[in-house]
Amino acid sequence: MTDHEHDVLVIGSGAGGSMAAYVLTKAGVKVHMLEAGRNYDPAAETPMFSENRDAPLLGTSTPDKDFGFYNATIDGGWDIDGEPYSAAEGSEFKWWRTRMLGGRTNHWARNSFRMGEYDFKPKSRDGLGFDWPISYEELAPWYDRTEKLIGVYGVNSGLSNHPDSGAGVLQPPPKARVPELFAAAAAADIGIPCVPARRAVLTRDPGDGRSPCFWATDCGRGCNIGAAFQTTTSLLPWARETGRLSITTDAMVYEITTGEDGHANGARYIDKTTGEHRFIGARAVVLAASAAESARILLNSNAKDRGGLANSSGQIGRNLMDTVGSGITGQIPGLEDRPRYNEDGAMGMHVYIPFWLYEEQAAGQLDFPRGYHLEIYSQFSAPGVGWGAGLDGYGRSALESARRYYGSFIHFAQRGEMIPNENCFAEIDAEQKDKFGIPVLKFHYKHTEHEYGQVAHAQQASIELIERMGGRVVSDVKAPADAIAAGGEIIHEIGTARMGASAADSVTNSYGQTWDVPNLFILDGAIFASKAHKNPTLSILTLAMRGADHLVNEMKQGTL
Amino acid sequence: MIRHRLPETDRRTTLKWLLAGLGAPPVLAACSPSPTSAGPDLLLGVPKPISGTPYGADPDLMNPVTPWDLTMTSAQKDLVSALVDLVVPSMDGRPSGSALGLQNFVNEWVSSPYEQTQADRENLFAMFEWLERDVRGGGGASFATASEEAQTNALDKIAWSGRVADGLEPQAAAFDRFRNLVVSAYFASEPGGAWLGYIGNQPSMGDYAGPTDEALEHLQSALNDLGLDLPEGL
Repeated sequence: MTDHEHDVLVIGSGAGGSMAAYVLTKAGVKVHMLEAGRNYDPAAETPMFSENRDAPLLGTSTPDKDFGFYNATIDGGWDIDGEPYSAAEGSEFKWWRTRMLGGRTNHWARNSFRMGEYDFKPKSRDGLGFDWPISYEELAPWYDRTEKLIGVYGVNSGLSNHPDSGAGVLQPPPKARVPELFAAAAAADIGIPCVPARRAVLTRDPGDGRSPCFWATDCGRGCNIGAAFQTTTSLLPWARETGRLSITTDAMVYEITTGEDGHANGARYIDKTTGEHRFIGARAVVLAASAAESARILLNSNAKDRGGLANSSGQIGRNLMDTVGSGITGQIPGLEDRPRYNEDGAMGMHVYIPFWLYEEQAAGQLDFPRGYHLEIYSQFSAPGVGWGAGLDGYGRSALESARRYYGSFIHFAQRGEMIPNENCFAEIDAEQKDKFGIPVLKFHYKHTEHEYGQVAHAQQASIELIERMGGRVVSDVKAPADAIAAGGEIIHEIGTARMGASAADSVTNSYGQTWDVPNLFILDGAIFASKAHKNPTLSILTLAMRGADHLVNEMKQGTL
Repeated sequence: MIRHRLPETDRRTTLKWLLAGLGAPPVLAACSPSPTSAGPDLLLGVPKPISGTPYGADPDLMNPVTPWDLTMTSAQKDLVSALVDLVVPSMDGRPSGSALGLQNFVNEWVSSPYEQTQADRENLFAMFEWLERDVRGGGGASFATASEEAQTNALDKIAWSGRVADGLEPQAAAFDRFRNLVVSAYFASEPGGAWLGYIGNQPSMGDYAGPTDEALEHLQSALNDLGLDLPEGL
């Protein structure tokens, strides 16, 4: 039926798209992938061990590189030249994008927490938001497979709603560092758990060509030994090894096309190297361009009725959510002038504080719904711009003061669950187009008292921890409405094509298969029905693995 | 979308530095003067305008290049070298800030075509001009060639929290920024990082070694003082 060599078109090379391509090609399916950004070769382009002093402006962040010179974000950031987005009056939303093979997996924090049983049935638990059409028990084996495949360090803590992994799945976590042990001691004293974090960083040789972490260089630069998981050192090369994956980069997709039967039959894109508009056909389409970009493509497709493709429910673009974020920093005298040692470790967290108040919440003792976790950041990190802040005078006394305080600050970052609300959504901007002529997204965003109440609680918990450590709070503790991160700022945007049990009020079934277009699967963060406090990438990978497996089965059975 | 601001060193900007250098109230310094108004020349000269381009959203990370020209005048560079050595003097046999070239980092910073550094440029240049004027007084040596006593007499008016002379708050804020940048560059240098005690960016095989016995003993002592127990199993 097709005049092309591949069967499935995958749009996007980040977590969801790459996992789909891996599963499909391993199952014998021929895949063609379109990526809006340029090709990226981590073996040749990762600035491992490069010193801040060798970078412009000591590598500090600039409007060109928001997360610093060496960060593995190419042609991306909060703003991309010629690719604007807008926000409704009174709304603030920040949209982090990157235009490179592998997408945001090249620089993510690698924090990999499973969603738990409560997270999949939140409405059943407290009446807010929506339940997922799938339970944790159904997804658990897929989490095991995903964690085993990508490599995740951590332990089974046995805590409520923080599920254990299967036997032999997790890799051993690195030892906690001094500030982490200090925080854990204070937490234990006031009845708060502090356990090994879970991160997609190898601590054991997986035998697939990647190497375990060698405890140096910032994961945000990318990792050319493959220890810190990114699709460009794992799923994509593995899929290519099958001989069944081809990739076109610099391909800016703007429409998914359908045939007379209503099935998807390909996509239109702009070849950014020539500016030409092209069409590529396929037997099935997997859309994984990131939650907001996928919504944009769907809303810009099927333009004749302006409702967008696969949108009979009207839910595309709705239910936009991001992680609730805030943070408190303290200075701890007990950490001053402490003996030096190599504290790089796995660069990111070794331990963290999972949400610990589910029972109290269920008993009505808290004034906010859902949970949050606290990420802990403190270490002897590589000096750069800002290391001379807060000093007095000059000369030896100022320098000795800086040396005394080095490594004595600790930051508790709240990462919490947001409840979907009707004021948070993305739509097509009726007037503005990008440099390619593609209509852009307009974001609407408003937090509610649910989020503010949670921020207030996290602030108090963080302050209590700092004070129990004998420290002083150095942050300006703002009112929750001012302290909360702007929508999108935590870069966990999800929910814009949610899955559900019915075509009436959701876009896809539990496999990411759209109700309206059975050979169109959405396998990125768009399909989340809720935004648990757990960082979403692990769940995107897991849902994509399961969804792609379902697509394979349907193709084998001839139903697609 | 405006990502970068590339102002010319126009007369208005120059006069702003000058007025700030004279210790004029910020409100005056912010005024747009008449294009025909005459005034004394800048003691440190007029720096070159910003030129060159930002490094962009896809720079070569393996071979970093700073694609903008340096703009400070010769007199500014001399002053900054002297000021850098007050912030980072030679200590314990280690090189001073100027011997490490930290003044070049200041020049790179104030010459870069980004909004954040452009704001620093205006404030730092005004502070440099004020220091020069204060040290020269009634016709003495320049800041760069003055005695250390003369230099610190001027600097002490703006360098210490709680001891800033009235009306010099903008200069004090600018020096705070200058000190932050210079100390950052010092710690990012090899000798400065060694003095600070950063010993990372070194690969090691096997499991992460974790804290040394000495580091754990220090922690244990701090926990004892607070009545906390060292957690097990982490």
